[in-house]
Amino acid sequence: MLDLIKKYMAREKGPDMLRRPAIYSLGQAMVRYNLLKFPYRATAMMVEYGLEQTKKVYNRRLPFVWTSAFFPTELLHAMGIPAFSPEIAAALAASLGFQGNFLREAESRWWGRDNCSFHRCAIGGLFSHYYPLPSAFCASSHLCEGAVLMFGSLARVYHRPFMLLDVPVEQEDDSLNYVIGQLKQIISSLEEITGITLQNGKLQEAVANAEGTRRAMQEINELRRHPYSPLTSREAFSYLYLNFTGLGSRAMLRVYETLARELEERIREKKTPEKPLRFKLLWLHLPPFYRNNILEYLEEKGARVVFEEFNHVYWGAMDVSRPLESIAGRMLSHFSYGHISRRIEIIKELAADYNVDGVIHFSHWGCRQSCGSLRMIRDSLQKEGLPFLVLDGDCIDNRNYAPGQVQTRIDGFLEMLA
Amino acid sequence: MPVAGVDIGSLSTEVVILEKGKILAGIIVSTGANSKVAAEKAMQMALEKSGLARDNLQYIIATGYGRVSAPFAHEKVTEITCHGRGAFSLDSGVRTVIDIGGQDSKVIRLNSRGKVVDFVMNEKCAAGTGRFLEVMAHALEMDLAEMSRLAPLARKTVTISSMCTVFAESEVVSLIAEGYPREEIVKGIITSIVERTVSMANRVGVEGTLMMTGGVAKNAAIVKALQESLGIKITVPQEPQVVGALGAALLAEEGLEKKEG
Repeated sequence: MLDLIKKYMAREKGPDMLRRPAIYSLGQAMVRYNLLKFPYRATAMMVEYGLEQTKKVYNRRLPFVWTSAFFPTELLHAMGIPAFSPEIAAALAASLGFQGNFLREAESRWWGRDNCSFHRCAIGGLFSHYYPLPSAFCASSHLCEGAVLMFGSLARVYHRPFMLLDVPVEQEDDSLNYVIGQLKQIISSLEEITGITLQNGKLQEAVANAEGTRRAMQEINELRRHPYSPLTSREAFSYLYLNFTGLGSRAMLRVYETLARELEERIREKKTPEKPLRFKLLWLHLPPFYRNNILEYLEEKGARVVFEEFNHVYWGAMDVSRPLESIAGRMLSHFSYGHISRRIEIIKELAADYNVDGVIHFSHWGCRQSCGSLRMIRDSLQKEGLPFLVLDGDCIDNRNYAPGQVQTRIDGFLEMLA
Repeated sequence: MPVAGVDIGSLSTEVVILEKGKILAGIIVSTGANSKVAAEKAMQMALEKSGLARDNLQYIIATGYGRVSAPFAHEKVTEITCHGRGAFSLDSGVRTVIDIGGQDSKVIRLNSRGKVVDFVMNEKCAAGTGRFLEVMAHALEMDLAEMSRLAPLARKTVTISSMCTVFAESEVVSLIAEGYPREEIVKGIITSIVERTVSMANRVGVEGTLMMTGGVAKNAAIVKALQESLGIKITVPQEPQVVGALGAALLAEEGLEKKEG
């Protein structure tokens, strides 16, 4: 069925159907009646939720906002404002094979190929009217400066409000209050734009959901350490949709709780046959989302990505009675923000927790924050005796993907580990 | 028990046949448009030179970008491991290998047992590789040997600013039209390759004896410029182009020993 959808989307007018809310209702029905197959019940629940959220934004009856990857979505869920993540939309476009249309559209409007392709794709999608124009653009300064610049620029082009949550890089005594102050301002602006008033009870509920989700994610991450853990890295990456847009929602909590139960059951029943495993690997940054077989090729060679940096739960317990403090604390504790030593320490901890034999960093073209400190990461890992491979590539733009060269680097790395 | 290593590169294909560590034959042919045909041809020539039949070869390892095009190979190993192994067999003091081949360049770090511990490869384009050099030689209407001979004669270096092979070729054509001496342009081309290679070498760090392998190592001017830039003597084996195939053959011997227990 997915292949049929991809085939349809590859047609010139294929992406047109994206704009029709009815298509999302149809998708939901297909999920509900098991016409689309998913490896986990949790995945089906996530897809159904994602289709519902997307349908809402295309319905245009309610205000909605664009959010950058780490914007605090708890606020939006508390106010009932749907979030549209252009980065996730770009990943979806790439996985369905029509990102080229959007990239070309952006490039023809002078957004050069040196820019991050997540953003170029999102811009092209909006310019060509496939992605919905929001009521406001909401970005946080951590971790990605490209998103901030893109949101700011689009806000000016389309005369929409732009809200920036400035998360300080260097943390000082007053950093928490600084972020809280901005959260209050953003809430106030959102109330003004949407006409929806944030109720404290709803905010507490969203933070309670986020806290429950945090615990479920920790449980999942713990289960993934088990040799019979069936969750593949490709599947784990598919849940990024929720990590980018769902925190604070009841739906995300239910999906992760369900996934934890399913994993627990499959591990208990040893439903996944133990494959001969030569090497365990840790993946840093994101994978390519267009058709590629990197993760599967690794599996074929007996090397498995057992954990991904992006699925690490980096923030501490959230206190429902102090919702804004909890959200601000989460913003300030991002694993890859601040001094590079924080990211390195976390990578080392993850490598030890998952007992990995090597670490792969996928360096997405144009992503300064993930690629800027490779030397320091490499040196620190080598001190720990951990081999490190940098795969230069692009998560969205497959014109920057050379399968043969990637394969040689992976083969060379695995030979080095042997 | 004779074994063979086949290195199928983008520009040339090499075969080395070994028996108990002794080289029975070493062959270099142009890869041309069909790497499978080139591999078959090189293998046939090597067999003829060594006086062996295909059935005599007990184990064959293919390497290079075209390693998947060698159906007769028992195993496929990357050129990273093969160049490392080949270089270490020629000099056990080697800890760093610079290999500049037809379409890629790499710097490999070895430990005291000759095992690869780190490597970097060039980015996707052909800048700084043998192909780059060939295209520039074509633009200058000279062969690679003449380039090597002319470079030391240059009093100045003309800067080649384009990294892309296609743009650099246009730049060279423009420089010729502007009347720059050919030796200065050649020096500029060499400097461009050296700068890229040095930055890769610095990424993995140069230690121990540094050996240069691959076809570009035959260009004395590039080796000299690299030595000056890195501030370290570079060892170039007698036939740098077959080091990958030699490494593959050595690994084939080891593979055979393991197989036979």
